[in-house]
Amino acid sequence: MTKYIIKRLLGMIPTLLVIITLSFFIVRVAPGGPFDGERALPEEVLANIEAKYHLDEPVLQQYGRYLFDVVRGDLGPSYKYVDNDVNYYIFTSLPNSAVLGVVAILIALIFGILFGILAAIYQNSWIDYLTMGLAVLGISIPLFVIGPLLQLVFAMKLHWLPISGWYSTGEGYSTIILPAISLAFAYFATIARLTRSSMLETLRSDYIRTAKAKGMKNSTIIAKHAMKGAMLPIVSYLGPAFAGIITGSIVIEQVFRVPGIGKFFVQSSFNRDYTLIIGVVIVFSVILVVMNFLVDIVYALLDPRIAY
Amino acid sequence: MKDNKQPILEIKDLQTHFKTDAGVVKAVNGVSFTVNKGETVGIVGESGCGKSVTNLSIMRLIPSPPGKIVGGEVLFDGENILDLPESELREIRGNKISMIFQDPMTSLNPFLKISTQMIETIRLHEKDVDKQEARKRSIEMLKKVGIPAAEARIDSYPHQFSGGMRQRVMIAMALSCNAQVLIADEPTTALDVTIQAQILELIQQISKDFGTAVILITHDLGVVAGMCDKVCVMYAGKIVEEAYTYELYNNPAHPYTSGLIQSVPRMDTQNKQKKLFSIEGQPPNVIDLPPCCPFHPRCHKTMDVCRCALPPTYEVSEDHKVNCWLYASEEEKAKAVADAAKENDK
Amino acid sequence: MKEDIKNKENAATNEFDQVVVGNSLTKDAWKRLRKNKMAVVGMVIVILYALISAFAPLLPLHDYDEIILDHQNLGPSFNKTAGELMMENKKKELYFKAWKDGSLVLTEEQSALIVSWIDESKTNSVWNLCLEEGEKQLAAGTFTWSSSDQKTLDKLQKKIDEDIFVDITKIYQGDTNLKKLDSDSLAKVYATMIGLDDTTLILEQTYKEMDAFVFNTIEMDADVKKNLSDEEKATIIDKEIEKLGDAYFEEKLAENLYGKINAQVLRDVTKILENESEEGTISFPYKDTIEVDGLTITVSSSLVNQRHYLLGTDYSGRDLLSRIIYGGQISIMIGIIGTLFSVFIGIVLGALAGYLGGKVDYIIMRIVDVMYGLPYMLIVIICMAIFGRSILNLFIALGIVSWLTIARMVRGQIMSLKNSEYVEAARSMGAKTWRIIFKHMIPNSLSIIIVYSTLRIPSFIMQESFLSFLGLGVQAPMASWGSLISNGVASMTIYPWRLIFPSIAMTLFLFAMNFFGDGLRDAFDPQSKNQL
Repeated sequence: MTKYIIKRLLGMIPTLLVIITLSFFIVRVAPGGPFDGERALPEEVLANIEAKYHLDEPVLQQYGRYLFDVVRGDLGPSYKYVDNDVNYYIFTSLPNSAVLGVVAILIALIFGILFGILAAIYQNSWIDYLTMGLAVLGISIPLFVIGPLLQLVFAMKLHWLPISGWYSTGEGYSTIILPAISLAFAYFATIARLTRSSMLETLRSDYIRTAKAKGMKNSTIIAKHAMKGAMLPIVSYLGPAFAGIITGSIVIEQVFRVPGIGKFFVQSSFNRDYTLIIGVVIVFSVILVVMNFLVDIVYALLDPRIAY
Repeated sequence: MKDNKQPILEIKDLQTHFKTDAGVVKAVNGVSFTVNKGETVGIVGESGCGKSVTNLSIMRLIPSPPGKIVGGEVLFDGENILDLPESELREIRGNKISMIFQDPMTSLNPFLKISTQMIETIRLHEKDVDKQEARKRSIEMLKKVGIPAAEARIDSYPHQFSGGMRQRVMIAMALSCNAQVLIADEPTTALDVTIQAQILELIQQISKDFGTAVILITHDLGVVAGMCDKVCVMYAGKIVEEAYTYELYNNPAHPYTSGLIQSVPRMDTQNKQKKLFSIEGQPPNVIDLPPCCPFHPRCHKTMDVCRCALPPTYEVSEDHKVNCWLYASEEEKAKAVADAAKENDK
Repeated sequence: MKEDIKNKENAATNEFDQVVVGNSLTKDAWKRLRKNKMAVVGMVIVILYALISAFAPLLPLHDYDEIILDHQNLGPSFNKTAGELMMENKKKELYFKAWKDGSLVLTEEQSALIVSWIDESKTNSVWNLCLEEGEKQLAAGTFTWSSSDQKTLDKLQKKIDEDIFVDITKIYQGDTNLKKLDSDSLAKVYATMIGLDDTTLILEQTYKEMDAFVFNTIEMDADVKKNLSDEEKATIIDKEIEKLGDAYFEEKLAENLYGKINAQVLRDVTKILENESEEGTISFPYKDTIEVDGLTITVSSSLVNQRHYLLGTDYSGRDLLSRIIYGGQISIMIGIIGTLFSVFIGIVLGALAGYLGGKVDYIIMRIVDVMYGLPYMLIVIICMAIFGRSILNLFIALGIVSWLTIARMVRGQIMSLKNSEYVEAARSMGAKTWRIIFKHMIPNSLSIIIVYSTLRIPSFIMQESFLSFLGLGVQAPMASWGSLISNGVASMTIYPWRLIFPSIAMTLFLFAMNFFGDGLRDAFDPQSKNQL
C-alpha cells in the first residue's frame, strides 16, 4: 500500500507540470500583453514595468523562473492588483470556495446515494420515478438556470433564505444553502443515477443470490453485501465530480456573489492578469489532483481485488 | 432401500414463467419429483431446459420481475415453501436447504473476507453462537472440505483462492448449518476436469457423513451415473423421464434419454471407430409452444400423434415414469389425434 | 389480430408453427426505443426543435437583431400590442408618481403595503397596484391626470398610433446594388443626393470620422487618452491605420458612406410614407420599392407599435421569441458541430491507438490520462478570454478538450475487434491498415459512437451556454440560450420573463435530448435485453 501511495504521489508531478506549462505558454502566446492598454506610456516607463515583472527576458527564462517560484509556493505578483501578490488574493478567497464546494459535494453524495439506493430497492415505484425524473432534470438544467430559479423562488417569493451574500461578510450561515444546493444539483442527479444502476446491477449478481440463499434479510444484504460493490462507480465518479464542482463554482459564485476564487479567475482572464490566471489554475489543479489521488486510495481500500 | 423411503422434499406440478418482450417463457411447466432423506437425485438436461429455474424456484430465488412462480407446491417436511412468509422462508434458506452455484468465481462476495462470509452464515441461523465459536466451526468446516492451512486462509478474500478452492468454500458454507437438502446447481461446470472429480467426491462424501439429501443439476450423464440414486431427465420445461439410475441406464424409455446416453463417449464399447451419437436439432423455443411433444422434431420415432398432442405420463415399471406416446395404446393415440383435429377445426 | 394471422402465413415458421423472426440489432433497438415512451416523447420534441431551428427564416418572426428602443423590456402578452403595453407601462409610472406626490389617494393599508413592497424591492407589485387603483379611480372620477401628465399620455398615444417603422432592405442605383460599390462611387452618389458638385467635402468629413472611429477602437487608459495632444493623436492613429491595412480601411470607409446614404434614404422614405399614411393612401404592413433621389429602394414598413410580442422583449426592444429561436439555432448548431468535431478527433486518435498499439497507444493514452486530470473548462475559459470570443474559437477550444472519452471508447472497441476473425481475414488477404480501420472496424463500432454522440450533444450545449453565460461565448447581436439566460439573470427581479422563457426553452430541449439519448443507449445496449 505504501508503495502504491508513493507511486501515485510521484504520478501527480507530470500532470501538474503539464498544467503549469500549458497555462504558462497559452497566456504567453496570446496576442496582446498585460500592459498593452498603456501603450501610450513612454517607452522607458513600459520598459521599466516589463523589467520589474521580468517580461523582458526570453520566454524560457521566464518559464524557468516561474517554475522555480511555484515550487517554493510563490505564485508571483499580480499584474493588475498592485496592493498584494497572487498568493494573498487566492488564499483569502479560497476558503470561501472550499466551504461552498465541500458542502455541495456532501449534499450531492448524501442525497444522491440515499435516493439511488431507494430507487434501486423499490424499482418501478414512485420513489424510483421521482429519482429518475430528478436525475434527468439535474443533468438537463444548467446550473446558471437552477441558481437564479432558486433565488426567485426561495429568496424573492418565499423569503426563506437570503438571495445572495456570504457568511464571512456577516450575513449568516444560511447564505451557504442556496448556492450549495444549486452547485450540488447536477452531481446529486448523476450520483443518484449511478447508485441506482450500480445497485441494481449488484443486486442481480451471483453473490447476492448466494447471500439470499443463505437466508439473509434483504436489508442486511444491501447494507453488508451490496453496498461496497455498488459504491465503486460512485467513488470513481468523484474525480470528474470534483472537477465539475470547481468549474461550476465559478458561475455559482458569480450568481450568488460569493467572494470566492472563481471571481478572480474570470476577472483576471479578461484583464490578462497572467500570474493570477495561472495561479488560480494551479491551485485548482492541485486540489483536483489531490482529490483524484484520494479517490484512488479510497477505491483501493474498498476493492480488495485491486493489486497495488 | 424402498423400506426407508421418507420424503424430505416433494415438488408437485411446479410452474415458473418469465415475462419477456417476445412473450411468456414457460421455463418450468409442470415439474414434479420427490427427494427422499439422504438420497441423491440428479436432474439432467440440455442448457435452457429449465433445470436451474426449477431449483431456484424451490428456494424462491427467481428474480421477480420478470420471473414468477405461477403454480404448484414445494413441500419441505410437509410444509409448502411457496406459501411461507418471508421470515419463515429465511429460516429454511441456508439452514435446512442450502445451495451451491455453478460459478464459484462470482458466487462468493469479492469484497468480503471468507471468514466474514462463513461466520455470518452460522450466526444467521444459530443466534446463540458467538463469533469465536462460529470462527472455530468455520475453520473446521474448511478443513473438512479439504482447504489446506484453513486457520490462515480463512481471512483471505475470495480472489486469493483458485476456482476449485472457492467451490470447496461454497460447499463448506452451504453445509455449515447441517442442511438437510443440498441443491448443487452444476457445481463442476466451471472447473477443470481433475478438480471436477474431487468436488463431486467431496459432495458425495459429505452427503454420506451428514445424511444430507442432494439435488444434483448437471448436463453430464456420466456424473449422474456415478453419484445419483435417482435421475430426472428434463426437456423444454418438463420432466420427460424419471427412474432409478440403474434402471434408467439399462432401460431408457424416452427416445431423448436414450439419445443422451448414447451421446456419452464410452471407453468400454468395442467399435471405437464409430462416430459419437448426437441428437440432431435444437431444443424448442418455449414461448407459445403448441400442444405437441416438444421433442418430436428431433425424435426418430415420431408418430402423427406426437405432432398434435402432449404425451401423458406412463409408468413403464415401478418407479420408472416416462412422458412419451410410445407407451400409449392405439385407441388412446387415435383419440388424441381426433381431439386435436376437432380443436383445430374450431 | 387478423394481421397477425396474415403475417404468420407469410413468415417463416419452424416445426412448432412458431414464427421465426430474424434478429437484427438495429431493428431490435428501434423496437425497444419505440416501447420507451419518454424516449419517444424526447425524440418528438428534439425533432420539433430541429424543424423550428431549420425553418426559422420562413416563420413569421420579427428580426432577432432588430433594435426598437421604444420597446425595451415589454412583458409577454398574447393579446396586447406593443403600443398598449407601452401605454400601460407609462401609466404605471405616472400613477406611481401621482401616489408619491399625493394626487392619487389610496387607503392607508394600500399605502402601507406599497411602502413595504418598496422595501422588499417588489417593483412589479407596486406598479400593478398603482395601475389598478388608478384606473378604478379615474373611471370613478375621483382622480384626474395633471395637465402635464395628460399631455405626456396624449403624446405617447399619438406616437403609438402613428409611428411607422421603415426598414430599407436594398438600395439600387439602376441595376447595381450600392453595397457592392467602392468608397469613391459611394461618395459620388451621396454628393448628388445632398446636392453637392464634388466629393471632396464629403470625403474630408468621412476621413475625420474614420480617424475618430479608429481612435476609439484603440485600447488605452481613458485618462491617458483624454490628455493626448493632437499631434500625438495623429501619430497614434496613423500607426493604427497602417497596422489595420488598406483593404480593411477601404471596407470600413465604404461601410461608413453606405451608412450615410442609408440614413439619408431612410429619412426621405419615412417622410414620404408618413405623408401617405396621413392621407390614408397606403395601408400597413407595406412592402414595395420606392424611387427617391434617383435611387431604387426596397422598403418594408409597418406600424411598429401594432406588433405582438408573445414572449416579450429584451433590454434593447428585440423580440424575445425570435431571439430564443435564433439562439436555439446557434446553440443546437454548436452542439452538433462541436460533437462532430470532437467525435472526429476521438475516432481518429482512438482508432490509431487501438489499432497500432505499442508506443502510439502508450503516448495517446498518457495524453488522455493527463488531460482527464485537468480542469479543462478552465483552460477553455482562458483560451476564450485571451484568443477572442469568436464561434470558431469556441468550437476549437471545446473540441480539443472533449475528444477524450470517445477516443477511449473507440480504442476499446477497436482492440476487441482487432482480433476478430473477419479482421484477420481482411488482413490475410492483404488489406492495408487504413482500409481495415475505416472499412471494417469503424462501421462496426458505429452504433456505439452514434449513441454516445447523441448523449454528448446536451453537454456540448451546456458547455457553450456556460461560456456564454460568463460572457465568453456567443456575442451580441447574435444570441445563444446561454447568453439570453445570462442577460435574463441580470434583471430577473423586474423582468422575470427574460430569464424564464430562455431557461424553459433550453431546459426542455436538454431534457428531451437526454431522455432520447438514454432511450437510444438502452435500446442499443444488448446487456439490458430481457434475456433468460
